[in-house]
Amino acid sequence: MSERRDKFRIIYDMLCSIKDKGGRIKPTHLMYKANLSHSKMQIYLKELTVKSMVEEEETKDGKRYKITDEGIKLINEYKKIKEFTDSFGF
Amino acid sequence: MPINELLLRPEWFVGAESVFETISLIITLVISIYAYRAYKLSSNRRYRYLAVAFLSMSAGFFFKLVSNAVVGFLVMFTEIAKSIPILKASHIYTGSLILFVFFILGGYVVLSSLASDVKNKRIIILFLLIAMLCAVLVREARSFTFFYFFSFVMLAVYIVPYMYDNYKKQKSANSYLVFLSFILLAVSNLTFIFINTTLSSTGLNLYAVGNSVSLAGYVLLLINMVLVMKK
Repeated sequence: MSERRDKFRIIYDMLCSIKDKGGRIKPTHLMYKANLSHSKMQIYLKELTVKSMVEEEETKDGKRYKITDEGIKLINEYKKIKEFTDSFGF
Repeated sequence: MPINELLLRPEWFVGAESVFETISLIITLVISIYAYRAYKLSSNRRYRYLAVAFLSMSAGFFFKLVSNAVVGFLVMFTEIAKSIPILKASHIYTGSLILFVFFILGGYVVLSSLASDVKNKRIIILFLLIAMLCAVLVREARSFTFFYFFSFVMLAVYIVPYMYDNYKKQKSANSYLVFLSFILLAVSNLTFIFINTTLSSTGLNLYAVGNSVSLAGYVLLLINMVLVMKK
């Protein structure tokens, strides 16, 4: 059975999904890539937008989410914290 | 009780020991701050307890430094104590050593609880009461042996095996460094246990050996932190 993801991990997965798609992603793609329900994704996107890690863009093809420098910083921070906590096994 | 009678150690080592403890204090404080940052970002309670464990150890080293300062600046502390009725410099010395023992053991208790995934608060309280007993025995029995023994038991029985299992699981240089650092801390406590059994100068010199091994353990934790931050 796979481990339950904590909030930090979910946010990391969302940000990585956007980054892997070249920095911009459609909401539906984000939902599938980050393995989230629509309602959960909306909650996290709202938080990421408030914290300026993600920006919403309106294009002629519809809505897109763009990762910001703050979002990239959080990805790097997550990697360090994961390395740190893994080293202690907690 | 005369100053410096409680702790059996070579007099020449007091200055070097203060340097060792300052380094250990800084390292444990840095780990505690980083673990707290991890907790704030992830809301994972285990990281909060990790921060508490290392903060408790930092507090322990702080009080040990206070006790060393009383020995090094006895005249100054005697003057300070004079300004407060019934307080003597020896009270500050003894009190800070008791707090040193309690906070270091408190850190090990929290780490052991995390390592063995103890959720029953009564067991954690029991461990903390044993830590308190060890701290009180510093004054009542004039011995640190209980402290060293309890530290060794927690490290050897709970923490080191957990870190070994983690190393086997992670197979990373970082987890190896952490595993190795706790082995060194266990070895240092084992060394300290033998100080009271051999009161010769060789026995006292074991104190310096044990402290050096302990410092090496904390330096490995620092190297782990540096490797993490560089990535």
